[in-house]
Amino acid sequence: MADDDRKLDRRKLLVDGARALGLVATAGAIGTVAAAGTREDTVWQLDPDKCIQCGNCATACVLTPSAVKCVHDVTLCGYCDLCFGYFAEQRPGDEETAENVRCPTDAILRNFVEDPYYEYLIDEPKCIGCAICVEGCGQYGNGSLILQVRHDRCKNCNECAIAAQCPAQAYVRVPRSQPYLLRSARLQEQEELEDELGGGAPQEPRRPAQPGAQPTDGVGAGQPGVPESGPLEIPADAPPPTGAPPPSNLPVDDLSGGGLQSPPGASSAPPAAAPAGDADNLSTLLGVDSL
Amino acid sequence: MSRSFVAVIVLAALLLPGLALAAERFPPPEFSFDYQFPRVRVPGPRTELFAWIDVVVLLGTLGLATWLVLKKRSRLEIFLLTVFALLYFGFYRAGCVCPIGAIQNVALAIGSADYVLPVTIGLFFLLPVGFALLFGRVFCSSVCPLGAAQEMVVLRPLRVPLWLERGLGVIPFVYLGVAVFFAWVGTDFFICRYDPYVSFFRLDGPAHMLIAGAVLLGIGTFIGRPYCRFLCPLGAIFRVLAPLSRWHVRLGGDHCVTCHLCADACPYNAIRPPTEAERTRPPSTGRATLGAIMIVIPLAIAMGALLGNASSSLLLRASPTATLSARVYAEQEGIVEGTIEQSEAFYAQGQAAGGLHREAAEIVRRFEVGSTVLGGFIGMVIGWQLLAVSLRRTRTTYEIDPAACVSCGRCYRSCPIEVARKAGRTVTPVETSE
Repeated sequence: MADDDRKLDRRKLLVDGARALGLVATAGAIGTVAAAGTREDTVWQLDPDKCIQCGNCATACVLTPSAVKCVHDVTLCGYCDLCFGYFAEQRPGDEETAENVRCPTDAILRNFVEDPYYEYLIDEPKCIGCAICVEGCGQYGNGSLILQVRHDRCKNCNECAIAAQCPAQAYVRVPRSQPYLLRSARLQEQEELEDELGGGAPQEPRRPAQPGAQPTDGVGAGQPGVPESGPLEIPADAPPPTGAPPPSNLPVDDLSGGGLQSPPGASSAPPAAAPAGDADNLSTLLGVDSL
Repeated sequence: MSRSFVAVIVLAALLLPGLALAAERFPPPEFSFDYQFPRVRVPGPRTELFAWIDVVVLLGTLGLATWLVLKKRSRLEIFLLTVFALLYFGFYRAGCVCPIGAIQNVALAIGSADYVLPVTIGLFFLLPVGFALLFGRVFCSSVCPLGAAQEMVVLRPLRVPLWLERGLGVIPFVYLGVAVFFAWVGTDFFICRYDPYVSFFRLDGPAHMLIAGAVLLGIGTFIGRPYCRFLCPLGAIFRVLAPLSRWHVRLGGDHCVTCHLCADACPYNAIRPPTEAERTRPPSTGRATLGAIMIVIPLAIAMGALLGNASSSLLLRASPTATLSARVYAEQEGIVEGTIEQSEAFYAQGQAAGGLHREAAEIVRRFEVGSTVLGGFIGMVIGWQLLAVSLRRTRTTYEIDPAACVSCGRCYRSCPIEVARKAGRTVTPVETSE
């Protein structure tokens, strides 16, 4: 009996010690998180500049219809008569008949403003986030039609199901207080940054670019600017890295559909080879069928 | 007029060097009147306040569950709280963030410098862990929405043989290891992707997960809480922590009349019957067991680590960045023809491949480290589980295994000692054994 008691005491001591250790660790972790963690948590959003309009947003979301919808960043819009986001490329006429319209759900409203301007609005309940209009607007137009996660619909899954399938890795976690990534806002930020850095480099005034905040009138709309290539477009020319030995064996499965219309300019070859030595190692690691 | 205007513009557009940023290809309109731009609707997500309300509700339900399980000891009230958890954390909150998934956020925050753990999510993981250390698996009983959903469907629970229960009990640890690994390398949130019940809470989701949820709920009618027992990674953590708890569900104790009613009532196989009296082994057996532990476990860890390290390249295929880097390299070296969606997207962003390859190299390194640790961990779990079969404890009464007990409170209704105690009578073995 005495032996049993001792055994129990020993076990009790071990358990007590482990528990105390665990509690201290948990308390420490809570303290660390409280000190180092962010007070604000994040939500998912897609970066319109990375988006390639693959169509996954419409189908990969856990919701049907998707929480991603087309958003019209109106201050960037050219108010074109013939909108590339609105009209299909191959069309018999310019009537707003179904065969002439890109949107499969007729979710874009086209309203006459004054000659030659038309305004385009998204009828959100109809929009399914297929990105067909976004593609047209991005290829030939101003890129004012973009996809965005609509946070009144989004369930904010811990892991966004669309992000997991996005071929462009365009989904990012953004702070809850700034849940949208609008192009106009980004351009404005960039402009402000240039103003700060450029030290008076004359920038042509853009239209006020914060659309959500307040409806704006066309201040500075007088500049029919030459299409400019903003700094965002400048490819990051990295120094050519050291040569890498060619990987052993790699697959030749070309999955690029090479769609019907190849956009002008997009045919330009991938940037000249700039691989690091690691990539060779990597493609050997990953083997044939994985690419 | 407008036709030709557009044609000119199109020509201008064609001359553009790149298409990465298409903005401003067409000049902004010059309206002749004071045109009001339509408002861009930017509906916000739930405010931060709600995240804190969730934390408060979590703490409240944990506290209430603890009180109901350990003090009030009433199945009905525990069940009502379970219903509340199902409604609030399940259907109202629609699943995210849950303490099970929060494991991954913690792992990601440890692994990635870019991700800072939000305090609310950290608390969602740590509060249940703290409670488990003190009070056993009270979280499982009536706070966890996944547990609650399964609790509702238990109809005719079958008894799973203990050897099978133990064997399948390895799965949650492996699941935990894999999930932590993928979160730590920043590739995937495994637990969330394969959460069988979240689609059910949302009544929407991918078809295969809806089917998986329905199947698991179906199985749950005759095997109590299959997810909690044989899959749940947080359950794996609790399996380790709950046995350390100071207070957890206990029955009769010294008054136990070994009537077996509690074990019959438990649908989760968490009540162990008394062992035969002559189980006391000579000390030499104990020493032999200890020796075996000291040999088998390190051996299992080493084996696992080796296997894990070897599987690193296989796991690496789950990383989109690594596969993209390899693909881009192969394309640029002319090893493969043409491009794929992913590489097109990469080129469209106009970045040099060097940065991508460097990023991928870092990921490769992390995968190698991570998979080695993961393999070692799995080896340890399997090694330990093998030994645990041979470890025996002597029990003179029916005892609740705190590792397996989810504190549902069913046994309180069937234990004669409990029933008598509630009725204000003290019961001695003689009295109840008629």
